[in-house]
Amino acid sequence: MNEIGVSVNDLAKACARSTEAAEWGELLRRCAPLAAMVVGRVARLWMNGSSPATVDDIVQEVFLKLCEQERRILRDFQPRGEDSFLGLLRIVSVSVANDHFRRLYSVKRGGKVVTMPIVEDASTGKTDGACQTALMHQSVLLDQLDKKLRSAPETIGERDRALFWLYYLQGLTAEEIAALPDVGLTAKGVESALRRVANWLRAEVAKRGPGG
Amino acid sequence: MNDNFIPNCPTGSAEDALERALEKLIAGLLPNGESPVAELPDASLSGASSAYPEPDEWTRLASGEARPAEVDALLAHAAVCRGCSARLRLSLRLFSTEASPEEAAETAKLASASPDWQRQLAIRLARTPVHSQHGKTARLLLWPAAGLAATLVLSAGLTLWWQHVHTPERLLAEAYTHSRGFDLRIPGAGFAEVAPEAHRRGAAVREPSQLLDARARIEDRLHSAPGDPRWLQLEARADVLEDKYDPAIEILDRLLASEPATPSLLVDDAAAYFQRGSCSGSEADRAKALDYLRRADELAPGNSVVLFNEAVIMEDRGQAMNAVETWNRYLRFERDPRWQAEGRRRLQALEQKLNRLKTHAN
Repeated sequence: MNEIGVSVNDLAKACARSTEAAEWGELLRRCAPLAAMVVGRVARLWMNGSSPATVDDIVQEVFLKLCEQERRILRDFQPRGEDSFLGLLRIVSVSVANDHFRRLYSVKRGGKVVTMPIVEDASTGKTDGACQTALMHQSVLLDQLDKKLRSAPETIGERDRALFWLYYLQGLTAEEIAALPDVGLTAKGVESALRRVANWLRAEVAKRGPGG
Repeated sequence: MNDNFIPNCPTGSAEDALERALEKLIAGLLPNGESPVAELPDASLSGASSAYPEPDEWTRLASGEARPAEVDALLAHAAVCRGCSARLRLSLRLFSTEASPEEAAETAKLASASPDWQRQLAIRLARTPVHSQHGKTARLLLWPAAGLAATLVLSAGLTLWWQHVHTPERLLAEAYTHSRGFDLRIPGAGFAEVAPEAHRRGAAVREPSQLLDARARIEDRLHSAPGDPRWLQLEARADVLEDKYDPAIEILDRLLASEPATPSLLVDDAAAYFQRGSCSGSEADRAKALDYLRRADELAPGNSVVLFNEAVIMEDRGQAMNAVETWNRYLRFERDPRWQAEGRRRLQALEQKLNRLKTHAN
C-alpha cells in the first residue's frame, strides 16, 4: 500500500486490520505529533506541564488504546469529513491523558486530587510591606465591587458577573469569552454586555451615602 | 506597581477610592502579572464556589460535555481565580489543531517525534490482536449470535423502559396523579381530579407507594451526593406532595440562589410557596409564587404546566383579566385532552364570574 497519498481517515481504517508495521509507522508519523500536543496541553492543565518522558508514555498509551479490544475504536471509526480521524484522536488523547493524571494523583494523594497552581504567585516572596498593603487595599476594593455586582441578581446575573471579571480582571478577550460554551453571545454581544455591566457598576459606585 | 491602582495614602473618601479602582480596572490599568486575585481568598470574591474544580472539569467544559449548571459554576470560579482562569484559557485551546510556536518546539523535541520511537511502536501496534473474520465460522455462529443479540437488545430495551418508568420524576408524577391534593400541577404528571379529602393536611393518610418509592430512591442518591441539585429538587418536590412546604422552600430557594433558574425549579418553588400561602393565608407567599411563575413563563413561554399554574394563581390573586388571557394561551399549548378540558372548564367559570360582575355593575 502506498501510504503517502492516502488520507489519514483511510490510513486509520486500514490500520484497523493491518499487521504491517509500515502502515502503522505512517499513521504514527502523521498523528503522533498531534497526540503529543494535546497530551502536553492536558498535562499543563493538571500540573503546569510534565516531563517529556511522561508525555511520550501517554502518547504511547493513546495508540495502544486505539488497539484495545481488537482495535475496536479504529473498527468503529466512521469518517465524517476530511481528516475527521484527527478529531477522534484528539478526544482519545484528552481522555487517556486525563485518566493518566487522575491515576497519578490518586496514588500520590490517596485518592484526593489536589489542583496545583498553574501560574506563579507574583506576590509571594517578592513584595515588600508597602506593596503588600497596597495589594490588600486593592483586594478590599475589588471585593467591594464584587459585592455590588452580587447585590442585584435581577439586573446583573451570575453570568454577567463572571463575564465582567473574566474580561477586566483575568484579561480574557471578548472573542475568547464568546467562544466559551453556553455563553451564547458573539464577541460584539460580549462587549455590549460588558458595557452594560460597567455602566451599571459606575452608577452604583457613584451613589453616595448621606453626606458623601 | 501599586501607584496606578491605589494611592499610597488615602486622598479622598472611600467612595472616591472605589470609583478610582473601578476606572483603573475598566481602563485596564491593573498591573499585569500582579493581579490581586492571588491575594484574595477565592471564597470572598467568588461567593458560591470556593473549591478548586478538578482539572478534568476544564476538559469537560472544552469538549462541551459539561451541563449548563457546571459551566456556570466553572466560569464563576475562573472569573475570580487567577490559576483557574489560566486553565480556562488553556482549555479553550485544548482541541485546537493549531500549535503555538512553543508547542511546536516542545513537540519536536519529544522522543515520540523521532522515527526510531515511531518505528518501534509501529511494530508493537501491528502485532496487537485484530478482529477475526472467519467467514465459515461466522456463518455457523450467525443465528445463535443473532439470537443472543436480539436477547441483549430486548433486555437493554426492557431495562431502559424499566428505568424510564421508575425514575423518581416519573414516580412523583404518578404519586401526584394517584392522589392530586391541590390545584397546581407538577411537571410531567398525568391528569387527575383534585381530591382534597384524600390529602388533607394533618390527616393520617397513607402515602401512595410511588411517593414512598421515589422518596427512598432520592434519599439513597442524596446519601452519596448530598449536594446534587437534581436530587435536591426532587426531594423538595416530594416534600410538597407530602405538605412539607417549609423544607421544600428552604431547598428550592437555595437552589435558585446557586443555580441558574430553570422553569421546572421555578414551578416547584412556586408550588411550595403557593401551597404554604394557601394553608397559612400568607399573601406574600402567594404573591411570590406568582412572581416565580412569571419568570418561568418568560423562560418557557409555551410550557403548559407553567401557564396552568400561573392562571390558577392569577385567579387566586384577583387578576381575573390576566388569568383569562393566560388560560387562553394555555389552551393553545396544552395537548392532553383531559388537562385541556380542565383548563376550558376553569376559563368558562372565570368568564361567567366576570360576566356576572359586569351585569351586577351595570
